[in-house]
Amino acid sequence: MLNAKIKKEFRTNGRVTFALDASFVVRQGITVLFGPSGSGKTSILRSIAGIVAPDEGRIELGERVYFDSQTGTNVPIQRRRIGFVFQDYLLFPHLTAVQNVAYAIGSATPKGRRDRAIELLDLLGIAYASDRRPHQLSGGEQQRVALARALGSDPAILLLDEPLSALDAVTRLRLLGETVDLQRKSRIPFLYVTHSPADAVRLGDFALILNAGRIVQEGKPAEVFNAPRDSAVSRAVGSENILAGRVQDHNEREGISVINLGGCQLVIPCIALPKAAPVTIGIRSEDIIVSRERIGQTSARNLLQGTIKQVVQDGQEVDLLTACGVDLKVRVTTQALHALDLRPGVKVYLLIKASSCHLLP
Amino acid sequence: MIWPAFKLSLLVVSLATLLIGVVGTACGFVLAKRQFRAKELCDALLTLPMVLPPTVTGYYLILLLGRRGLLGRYLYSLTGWTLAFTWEGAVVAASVMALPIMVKSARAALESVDARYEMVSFSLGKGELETFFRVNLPLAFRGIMAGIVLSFARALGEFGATLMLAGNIPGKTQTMPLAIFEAFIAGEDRQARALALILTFTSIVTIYITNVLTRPPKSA
Amino acid sequence: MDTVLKSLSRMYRQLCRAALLVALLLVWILPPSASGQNRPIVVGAAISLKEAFSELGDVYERRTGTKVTFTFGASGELERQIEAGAPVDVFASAAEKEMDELQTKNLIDRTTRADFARSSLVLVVPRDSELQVQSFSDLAKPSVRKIAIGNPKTVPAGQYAEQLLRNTQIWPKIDSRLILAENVRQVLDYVARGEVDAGIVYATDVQVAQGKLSVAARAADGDYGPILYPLAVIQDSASANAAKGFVDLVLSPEGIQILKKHGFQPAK
Repeated sequence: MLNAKIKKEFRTNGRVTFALDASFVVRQGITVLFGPSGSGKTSILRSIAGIVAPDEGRIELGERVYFDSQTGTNVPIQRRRIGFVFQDYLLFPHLTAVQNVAYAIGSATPKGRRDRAIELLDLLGIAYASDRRPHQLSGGEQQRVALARALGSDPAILLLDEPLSALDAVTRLRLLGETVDLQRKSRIPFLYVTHSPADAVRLGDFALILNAGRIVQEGKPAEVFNAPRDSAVSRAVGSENILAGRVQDHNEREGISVINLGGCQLVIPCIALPKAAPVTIGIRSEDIIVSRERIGQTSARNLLQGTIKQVVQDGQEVDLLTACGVDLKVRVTTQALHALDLRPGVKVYLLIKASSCHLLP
Repeated sequence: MIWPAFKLSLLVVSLATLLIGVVGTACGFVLAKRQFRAKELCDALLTLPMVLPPTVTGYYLILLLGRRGLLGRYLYSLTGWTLAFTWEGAVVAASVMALPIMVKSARAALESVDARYEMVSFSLGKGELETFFRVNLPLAFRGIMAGIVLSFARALGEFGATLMLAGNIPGKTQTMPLAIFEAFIAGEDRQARALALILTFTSIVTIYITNVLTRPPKSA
Repeated sequence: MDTVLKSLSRMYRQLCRAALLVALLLVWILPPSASGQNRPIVVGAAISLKEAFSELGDVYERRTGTKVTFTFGASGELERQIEAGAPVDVFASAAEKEMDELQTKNLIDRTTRADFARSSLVLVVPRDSELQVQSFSDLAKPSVRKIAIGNPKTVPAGQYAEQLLRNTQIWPKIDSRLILAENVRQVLDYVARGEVDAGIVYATDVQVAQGKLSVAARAADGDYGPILYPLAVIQDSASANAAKGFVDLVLSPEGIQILKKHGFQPAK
């Protein structure tokens, strides 16, 4: 378990341009560190790894204290048991895949190192590419070698800095699933940095929302994204509702598919995935229509019933955080808020067109 | 005259190149990858022998390392031995004159290696020395090799500082450039010609090897 | 930052203007050629003649208005330069050998050739030497580890030294300890700086390194030499008259006096 309190001021020409002040805990499983560009995500990772030192704070992993500004402790990078997967992988160009991984391994004999390296490459499904150089590997293969190498040093925590951002949609999707499997198998916490809400919801057991150097909300990803606590968080996470579910049924004649979200069902345009396949659906909060009354005949395929839990003001507009089997945020104007007398506790009906439901890559 | 000079040149230049290879690469590394206040001053001092006239450098070497020199006197009182007029002195003179080339080449080669690879290596638990030998050096290899070859050529042609520190003693310190000079003055044209040819041939081979080494690799 | 750049470019312009001014001044100040009627003459002389000939040159200039430029070096080196076409008008060597070689090649006006001085060899040691070297045979002592002489191939002083050492049977005992210098003044310098334990130079060289070395012994006349200095006008010299004039001065009683002052004995 990682316990971190990081304070750092970044200066340009003497003036403070950015201030980081984050306190958080990383437990077992995958913790997603989410935030827009420039919110400080990479700086946090680099502080944990020891690449930069905070001005103030404390970082401890389990019982080992890696940094403490009060006692002046600052353990050098080499002695922290931290694995790091970089955004551009940074595989050593002069070594083959297996040599890259073997580089990380500390065991005594060269044979022992090579064997363990092949084991790790195999775990990631790319043992076949062992003797290729990085420039001979595809993006996805390089990413997997980078993962294997980071794990090779036997770390107590793995830090991943947007490792999938450079990949195409299909590879990304596959690797997301594999990353989750990897974490379960390796049994060390992952701290995964991303600016993609979809990735956050798909991967994370826990999410930390970072905005302008501060952690503005934390919790389960679905909760945080679909029920932002205030306008700051809302702006950080974006306006899309992100829902994870599985394909339940198809109806080709009508051109629709039915998704089971756990707490409710959603009708979306027909997709070419088999039944029980996992999917992630995005619905923009502006695309949901609110009604105080149950309306019978509408063109919307989805009618959900729920209760308003919270009202969050954001300038001229309002986010209604509703619970209707799943958490959904609905964006309405302030006039609508007053005209319909929308308050916490009020029962509402949500209308969502099938076409407003996007399959997220 | 030719054969002893050739053998001596080979000995002196090989040792000098070995010395320069190690020291020059180490200096180049520190200048390329580490920050400290007097950095550019150090670079300037290391470049000095390349810019100063060789006789000036030779003069300073004698001042420093001669029997009564600032450092030489301690060496003499401890061991009764001095660098002046010895082949070891010739090695020192050649090394000092060719070192700037090695340092510049090594620095450029190491600077061109992405600094982040070092960070990756540290994050995998490796120390500074191991990172240097397993990451920085292999990736900068071509540039460093080119530097070694150029230093070799410079050491081979070294005349002024060698003459001043090591003297021109046939069989002991008379390297090929010194032998050519003496052959010319003594009117031994055939010897001078032969030596000049040997040195010209060596220089051409050196240029060729340097070009091959610094050609970028074929793969994408 | 900008203000720094602006002032730098202003400084640079000022520097260029100053440099141009200095260049123009130099061109104007430096005399284009001789102040007198004749072209200047170039005298190539053995380096052991440096002080004596410089004085002779001053006398000649004052008397005739012709400027004398000197180039000093080992006689062998000068001989090669003359053979290669160096613009020398008078050549003064420390041995007959170099002059003979030029004469064989018809490079000197043999009617002007004459011996003008005589010298002798001495053994010198550094002033603070504790090795108790008091004669040439002391050179064979094991404590004497470095002995400097001129390079016999190209330096007359070295040729004479080798002759001396062979005639006295000392050569085989010490030849592995010899340090060869490019000219006799370099031998002097090595001894004066203490880089070597002993050296063989001309008697006339000693007064140049006053105080830094002491004379350990004088060579016996029969063991070497004689050391005779010849000079001659170079064939086809552009200033033959002026060159002959200088030679005459050297050979005159006045010239002999000046040479004597610097330690040289008359040739006869």
